[in-house]
Amino acid sequence: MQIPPKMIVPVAALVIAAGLGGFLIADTAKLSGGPAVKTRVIGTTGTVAGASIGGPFTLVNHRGEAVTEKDYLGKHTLIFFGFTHCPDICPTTMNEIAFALDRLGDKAKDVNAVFVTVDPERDDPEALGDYMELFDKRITGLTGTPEQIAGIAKAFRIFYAKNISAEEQAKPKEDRFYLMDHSTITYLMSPTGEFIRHYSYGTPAKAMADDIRARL
Amino acid sequence: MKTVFGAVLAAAIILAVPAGASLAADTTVGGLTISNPWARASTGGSRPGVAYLTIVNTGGADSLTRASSPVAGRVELHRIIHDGGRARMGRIGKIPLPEGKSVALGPGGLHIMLMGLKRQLKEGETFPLSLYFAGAGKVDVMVRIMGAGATGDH
Repeated sequence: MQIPPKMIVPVAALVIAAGLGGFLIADTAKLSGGPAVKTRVIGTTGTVAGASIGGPFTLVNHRGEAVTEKDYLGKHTLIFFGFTHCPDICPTTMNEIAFALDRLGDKAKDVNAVFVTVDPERDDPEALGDYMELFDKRITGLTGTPEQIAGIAKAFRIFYAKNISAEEQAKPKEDRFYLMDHSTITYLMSPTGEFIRHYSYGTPAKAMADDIRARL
Repeated sequence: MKTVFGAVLAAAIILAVPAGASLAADTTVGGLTISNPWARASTGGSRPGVAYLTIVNTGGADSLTRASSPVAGRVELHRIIHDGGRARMGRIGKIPLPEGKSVALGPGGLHIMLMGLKRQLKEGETFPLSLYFAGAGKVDVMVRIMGAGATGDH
């Protein structure tokens, strides 16, 4: 299955994520079909898994309230990253999280579920609010300035990059349509804000709920 | 005689049920059978829609080259590439349909992206989608709209 060249131009590729304790090569040319440009990402730390995922952040929730990491302490927190113009991956994850919360029943109130946008350009609190309303009001949407989003993505080792076609890139800025490439994992953080584990994309709600319930 | 007639009648009813009960009837053109076309309810604003379906090819090799729909300004064939916990979405020129194979479009893999939606896609409704095959030509199907986060397996 060939991807036609020039269809996808990774623009302003904000490559934030890093392999645990090392570096990885993001072969952006693989998808773009363009010249073999490789981006090297150097790991920020060489520490053990868990110790370096998460950290302080200041963002705004979908109700327009300023929040920090401290607002999510005291309960286990599911945190995942996406964007509301995402047609395929994000709705699936939103749905699995909602189903997992359903399966937790009364225990769901002991878990925070947080969706952080990697598309602050389009996802303001209002856009996030509409999105949460559509999927599950128990999930909180967070956004911020591009710098704040870059900060939390770095803290959580999340990769994201704008994905825009050459055709769209040629249009005036306000008319451009783009997608975001991004990390698809969901993190489970402890009530004290420490990384516990991650769930890969496609983890069924039942497996997630069973795993969380065993920790509550 | 009565028993034979009864058996024939029962067989006829059994054969009739799947077609009649099916929410989205299969569409067969030549060796291609397109089954279960479904979409997610749209989420408003400029957010794109997405449609999925399964194509079984019992004939010679073919390919899906493009799609169009009156509900969208532009329709593209897309593929998600999963790479170490990252998802990259890429437009693809065609979806090959090898001889004797089934190709499923579904969440997390291949999909038909509906951009510039002209109307809201509401759960429970349907909309027309035209599929263009290199060999079989244009095939029209009706797409059933499911929930905004439907995954087709819940």
